[in-house]
Amino acid sequence: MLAEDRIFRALSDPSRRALFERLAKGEAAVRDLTPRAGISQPAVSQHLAVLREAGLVAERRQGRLVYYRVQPKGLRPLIDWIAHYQAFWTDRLDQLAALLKEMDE
Amino acid sequence: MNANAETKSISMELDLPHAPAKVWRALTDPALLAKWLMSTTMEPVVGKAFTFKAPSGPGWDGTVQCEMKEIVPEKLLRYTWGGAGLDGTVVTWTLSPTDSGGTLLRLEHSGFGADKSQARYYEGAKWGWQSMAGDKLGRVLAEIS
Repeated sequence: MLAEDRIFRALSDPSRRALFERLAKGEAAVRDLTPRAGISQPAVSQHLAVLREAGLVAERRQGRLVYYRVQPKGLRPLIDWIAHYQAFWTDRLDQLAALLKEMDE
Repeated sequence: MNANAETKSISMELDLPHAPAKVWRALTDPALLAKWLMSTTMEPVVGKAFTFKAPSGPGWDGTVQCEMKEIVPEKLLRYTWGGAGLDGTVVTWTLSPTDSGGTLLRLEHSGFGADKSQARYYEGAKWGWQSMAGDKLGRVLAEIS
């Protein structure tokens, strides 16, 4: 899956979006997030795992607690225009070459 | 990351066995452009605004806003390429005849990061998320900047 797709998928869920918005305000442990999220602790952990896999949050262990925080750089793939257009133009130039082959002189 | 105005560009070259006149047609005829690039309202008039239209994606209506900047038939074509947080980039096509009667086609897409990169960063992210998250996320992005 593309990084963009992972990010969009992670944020397409309202609970995960709420968690991300909460973490944007500051680092928090799962137990701090649970009461507010209105969902069970395992569910919160699962949502956090999806956010982490999408590169949107990072975790830090301290004793028995795991703290989560937002990774601002996690948003970069959404706007990595250079990479996007590099792929775009490579693909389109292939199509142009194919079209020119079909065209009359 | 340095937020100052260093711009970046993409350039690609294609060595084609077709004459410049034919390649030029593929770059400027809307009916042909629709077949390999996108459907477009392009007209061969300097200063004229036009669009490319792609299938819309998440958070994007699929429209690229352009303005024709320079036309030298069979040699050079330049237009701006913007909209959706990507304003200020420029697409330039250069055609050079080759010894074998073909064309060396060069594409340059320049001007990435012409703005302060941080502003562009969040602008782009906001754009990307518009359809899914709405304004609230935009505010969050502003907070973590």
